[in-house]
Amino acid sequence: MTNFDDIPFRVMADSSSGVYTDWTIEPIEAMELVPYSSIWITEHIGYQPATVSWRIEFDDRETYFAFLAKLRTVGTLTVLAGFQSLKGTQRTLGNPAQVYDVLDQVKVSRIANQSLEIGGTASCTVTFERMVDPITRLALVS
Amino acid sequence: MVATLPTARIDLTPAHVVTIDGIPFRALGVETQHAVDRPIGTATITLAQPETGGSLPELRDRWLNRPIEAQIGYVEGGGASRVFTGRIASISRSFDRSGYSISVKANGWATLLDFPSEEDIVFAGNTRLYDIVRSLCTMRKLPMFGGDLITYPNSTASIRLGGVPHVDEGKVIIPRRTSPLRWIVQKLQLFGYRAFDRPDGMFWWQRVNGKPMGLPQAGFVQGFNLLSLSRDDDVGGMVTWWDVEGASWTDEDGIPVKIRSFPGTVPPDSGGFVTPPGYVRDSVSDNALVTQALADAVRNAHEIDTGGPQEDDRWRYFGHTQFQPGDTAVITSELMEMDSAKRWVMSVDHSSSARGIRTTWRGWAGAGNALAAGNDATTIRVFTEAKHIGDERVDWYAVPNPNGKEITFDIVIPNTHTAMILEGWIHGSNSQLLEGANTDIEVSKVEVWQGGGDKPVGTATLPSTPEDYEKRLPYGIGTTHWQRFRIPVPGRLDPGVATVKLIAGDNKGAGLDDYEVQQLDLVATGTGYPALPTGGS
Repeated sequence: MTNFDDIPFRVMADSSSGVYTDWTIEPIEAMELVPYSSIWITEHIGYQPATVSWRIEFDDRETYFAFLAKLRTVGTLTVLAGFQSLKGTQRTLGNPAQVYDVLDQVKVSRIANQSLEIGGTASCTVTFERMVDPITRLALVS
Repeated sequence: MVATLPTARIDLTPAHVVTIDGIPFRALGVETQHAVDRPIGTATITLAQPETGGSLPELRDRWLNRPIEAQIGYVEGGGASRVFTGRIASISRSFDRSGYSISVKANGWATLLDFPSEEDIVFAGNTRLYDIVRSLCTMRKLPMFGGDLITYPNSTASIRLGGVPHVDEGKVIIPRRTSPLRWIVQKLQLFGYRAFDRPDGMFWWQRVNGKPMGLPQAGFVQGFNLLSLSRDDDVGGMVTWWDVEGASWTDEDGIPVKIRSFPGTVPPDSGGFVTPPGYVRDSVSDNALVTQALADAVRNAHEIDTGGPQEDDRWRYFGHTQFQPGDTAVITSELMEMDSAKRWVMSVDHSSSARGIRTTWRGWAGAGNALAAGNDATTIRVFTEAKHIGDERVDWYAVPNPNGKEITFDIVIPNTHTAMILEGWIHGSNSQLLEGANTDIEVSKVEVWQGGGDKPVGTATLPSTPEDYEKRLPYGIGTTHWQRFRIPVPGRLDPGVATVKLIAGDNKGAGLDDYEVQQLDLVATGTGYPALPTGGS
């Protein structure tokens, strides 16, 4: 049931580390040295959007092409609960039933390393982006 | 051995808030400019893309001329403080391959003073300049205003304008189609004051003149809280001799009066900054200067600003909002040769963006001393002893036997003058005892001759002073029974020698008009010139 705007896919583990990558939230800082001193002043301007890059796999090309069309759009990402750290709405889906995190306001910001496999499956590396409060990890409403 | 400096780290969290018409909007950048020489504060604010379309009115209908306020600051410093308030004057939007952008430009509340009236704004004479400024602010409904009492540079006496009936009937008039703001700024600058929008939203006026004397509101030290500091020293703005010209009019005696102030002595150029010639002259002229005291005040205010080289300092640090133009800063920098140097804060510019908050200040301090006034009038004694003009022996006159039907004397007309005046003591002129009563006649006069022509270049009738023939007053003792007279020397006079004739008139049927004059002075006004330093020309 992992999907983006109801387009299903599977998330692959990182090929080198064998783990699933979590979202990162990079701070925006401005740092300046007071001349003729050893005083550094850091301004914590804010945070960049939370991002995560996953290798994902599609069962068929129709689904894959539908996903490619989502590049630079904002939608809802549904992933298994506990799989990642951002807070969304938890829903129980599927049979057998499992708990999922439903994350709204997620943007498909980058799609790379696409490949089509013989047999009809396809895969790519996708970067999702979501504006969140770094403390609560809840989405910020723009 | 390796020496290491301990490194200090200060963490700051910037914040800024922008509201338009009271509604908060997400701002990407805030830039504000306020200065004592910028009467209207300005701001440029870059915003995130606002909601448009649908049933919403166009942005220009929602935003133009609406109030806007910006606050910036650091969470660690107590949060954001107001750095601008005013009205939106323009909206600029565009898009290109890098995306959409929108910014607004806004002006501070001093704009409410900046539009002219279609009628003269008139104040009663002898009104304090301070009260005039306050009245104008009230009249134009400025939301916040205030300022210092406006006083003479060397006393606590308030500057008052108007009050001389010969100039605008004694009133203070801001002519129609004149911006009251421009009028305020111009008049205040005469006396070393400035009027300007402050970042905190106040329209403020205060003295920014000479060296700052008060306690500093902030200190900046090299290696502690200065990201940059620059210092420029320039002889360009140096003026050591100020000439101030005020109003001019003709008084009750018909004598032209011209208010003028200049220094008695131009100080020597001890630093050698403007040698040659050793001095720099400039002038100020304003018809609102209707008294000598006002003109002297203007001159002194300028002298303490410009008597030395002009120093312009600029420094920058992280955002500092509790500091207004017109405040006093003290700066210490070994590299800039500034040891606790007090400076007027001339401008405060804030910039807040994704690169952080920075504030840039400009500082300045006047250099120079107020100088004693010079005398603008030259008095030449023509004669001291009494002269009897006429043809009759009068025993009780100071000089019983007449000196003649007319007496002549030469005067030297100075190269520059605004008026020539004859002053002295007189009795019996243009008055004869006819049939037992003093009778005014108009025949005794002054003539001025110049250039060898066949007629005088000017003629003026002497005043009528009672003959009092029957009283036989003792004119030879003091001046008790004489009258002081003061008449302009008539005619258009060229520099050089002129001949003045005092003539006894011939009243047909009654004989010559006998009168006496003593202590006759020729006063030339507008001749003043300061003593220049040695080496000057």
